[in-house]
Amino acid sequence: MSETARETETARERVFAAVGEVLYVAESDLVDGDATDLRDLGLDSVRFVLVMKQLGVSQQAELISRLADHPSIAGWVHELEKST
Amino acid sequence: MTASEECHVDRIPLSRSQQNIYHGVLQDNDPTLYLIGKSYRFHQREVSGFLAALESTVLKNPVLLCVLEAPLTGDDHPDLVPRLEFGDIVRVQSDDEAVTARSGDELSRTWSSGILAKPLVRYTVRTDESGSMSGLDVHAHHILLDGGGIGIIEADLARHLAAGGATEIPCVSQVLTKLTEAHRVETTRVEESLPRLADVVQRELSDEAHARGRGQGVNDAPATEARGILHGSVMISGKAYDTIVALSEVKQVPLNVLVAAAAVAVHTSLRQSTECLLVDVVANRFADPDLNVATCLVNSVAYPVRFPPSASVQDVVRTLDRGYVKAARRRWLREEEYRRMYLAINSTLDIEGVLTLNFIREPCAPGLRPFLSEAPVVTDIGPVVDMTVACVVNEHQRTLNLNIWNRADLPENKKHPRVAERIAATLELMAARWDEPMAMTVGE
Repeated sequence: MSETARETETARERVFAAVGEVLYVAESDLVDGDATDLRDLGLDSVRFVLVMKQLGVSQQAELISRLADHPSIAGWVHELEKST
Repeated sequence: MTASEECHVDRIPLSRSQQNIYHGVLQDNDPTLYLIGKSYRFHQREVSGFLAALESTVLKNPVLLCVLEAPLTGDDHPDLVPRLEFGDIVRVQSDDEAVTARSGDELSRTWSSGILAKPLVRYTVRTDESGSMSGLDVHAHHILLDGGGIGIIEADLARHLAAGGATEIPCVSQVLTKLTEAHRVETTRVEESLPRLADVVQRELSDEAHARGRGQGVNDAPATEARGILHGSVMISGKAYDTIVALSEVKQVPLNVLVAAAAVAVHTSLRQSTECLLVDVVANRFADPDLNVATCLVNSVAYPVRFPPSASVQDVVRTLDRGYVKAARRRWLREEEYRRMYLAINSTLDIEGVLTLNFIREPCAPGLRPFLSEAPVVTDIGPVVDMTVACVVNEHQRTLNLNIWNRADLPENKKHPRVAERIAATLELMAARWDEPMAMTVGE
């Protein structure tokens, strides 16, 4: 496995763990895979704040704004990787 | 300039949310039923400057200049049509204690013969003895605006006040096109949601009905709505506020769920029943720029709550948290569709078992805060089915305001004193009694 692939997996695991904790999501709930719109799994503005805290990014306003624009696991993995 | 002079979009079909309210209007004879209102206290300002900012704000949100007109085709619903001018919806009045209520009453009286071709909003600019602008009341028909829509207008007003008149006159036509598009997007999402969610919801409702006995209802009264009036308020601040926020963070439970749990506990105590139908107002504009328009897109999600009398605080909170997330997944399924499915399976809806929650994350648009001398007050909320708990968080002042609304026609023997205080006390106790029975936190 390449270094990039390992980092991607780590970011994906991190996002899925946070989402799973706050939205009670299992892999089987991701009807469109990682592109599933998290709002269709119960993400709202209040719960979004909790997930941001879980991800440890709650002080990064610009990143939070980008994550809000892409509410899916794939979108968040992409944005988190870009920010590192 | 009027909206109609430069407008190319001349008729805007109603959103699904607005269509539902229109059906409600036709079924009910109470013109005050859908009155919503909010009152603001401003730091003193010159009236002329404020009116200029307000006019720019209205032009930026031309839905405010629309009336309902019968459709040109055979559609069942009227269209929104921009026919009004700024002066048609704005009054300047000297301040007195009764001005807010009077202004709302005057507007709603104009709807008594029907709401077609009538202004649906009124801004009352209040002036003090020195002639300065000191306050603003907004009253509207709920068909025109929801809470999110009012927040968008507040943010625009703040921008125009901050710019001091140096802002561009917005292109009304473009905004009306965006409004039309927002309604189209909402309609599409609602239509897509029904086939996707109907089976799941019907299965959930059937399982729930089976678990508690099919068709069981304490009260056979139809779930009619009545005008909501305020039955009590309490402000949580200081250490109590910090304790509740800390509990939310430590247990990773959103604040709205903690409030819901405390409200359910008190509701349970009042009714001596650990079953209810919880209704949450949903904010569908989140992360959706297409819907970031002043209009009415309101929807709510309902979910049955049931727990053993000995359930701990933690158990109740976790049950509600899971229930809320599950319910929020059908945010686009219209609440009237859900109610139809519910009644098809349960045959009655026990309205005394319905508890509605409206959690509002900020008292107003953050940009407006510096211009206000105090937090705004919601004066009218439109119709309610039964007890409604409105919770407004003010992170800036570290307060949490609980307002209890109930039916204006509630009989005396159904009125319970100090409900807001009991919910606040329960919230404060939850951290210390996390593993103890929830019933004990409400003195049962």
